[in-house]
Amino acid sequence: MSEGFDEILRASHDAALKELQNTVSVDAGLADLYGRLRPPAPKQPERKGNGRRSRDDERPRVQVKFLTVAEVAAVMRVSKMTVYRLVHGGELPAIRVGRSFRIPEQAVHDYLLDAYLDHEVG
Amino acid sequence: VTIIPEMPMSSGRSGAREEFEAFYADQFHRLILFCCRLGVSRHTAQDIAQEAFVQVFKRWAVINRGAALAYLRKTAYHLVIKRPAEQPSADISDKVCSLPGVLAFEDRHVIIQAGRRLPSQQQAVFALHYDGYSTEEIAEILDIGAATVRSHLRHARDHLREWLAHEKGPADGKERR
Repeated sequence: MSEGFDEILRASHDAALKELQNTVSVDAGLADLYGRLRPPAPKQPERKGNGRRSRDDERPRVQVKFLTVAEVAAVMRVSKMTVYRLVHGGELPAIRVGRSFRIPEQAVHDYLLDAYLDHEVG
Repeated sequence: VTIIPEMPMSSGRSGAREEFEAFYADQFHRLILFCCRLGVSRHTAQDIAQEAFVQVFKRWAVINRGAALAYLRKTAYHLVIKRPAEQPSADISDKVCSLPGVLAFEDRHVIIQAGRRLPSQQQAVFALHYDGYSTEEIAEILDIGAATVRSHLRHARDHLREWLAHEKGPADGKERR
């Protein structure tokens, strides 16, 4: 009687687990997890300091979004000098456009995510 | 301070992240099932499991790897007992799942049904027991005495054995399929 009881429950546990493994994707879960860790998107990264770039709004949105150094500094709540230091030190990937830098938005999120991982180690 | 590059500790960010992702892949479904067995719906369970992983992730750098499993369960348990009342939208999704002929995930598995028949602390003890935790570990996770764990477990088993025997009598074919 007692063995039958445990057997039924174990079998049910395994069956339920198997069903979850077959229906819920780990990759989708991880993507959702990292989404939750991401700070809420800043409301005005689009805010243009100068009129020249206002044309960007009409363009179709491209997959990779680039931020200026000032925008990254605003998102991370640090000074522009700190952002430049991170860029020059290779901690933030950036592309050079003429005399200024542009940083992929994703790189900023990745940097902040990684900061969670070793804030106490480093 | 000397830095030894070969040490796993200093393998850098990607190392810690890979480690976390392996931990996640291993525990993700188990944790959802664990939450279901504490009596929440599958969708809420998934949401709570994610929140628990978020909290573990934020502390990953300082968590002792050996204790990570227990910490994960403890976090999920607290999220379940402190969750706000289920939202109306959850009721709607439950209704959609329980259309005639289609039983919701939570209603199809004896192990989940069994958990729901128990008072909440017994539920948690029982769920952890089937996840392979020892009496001492359960006591540690739930912040109760080891003797309490043992008596909860005994009461839960007595109750469920009776329920199952009764349930399996008239409707034998139902569970077997």
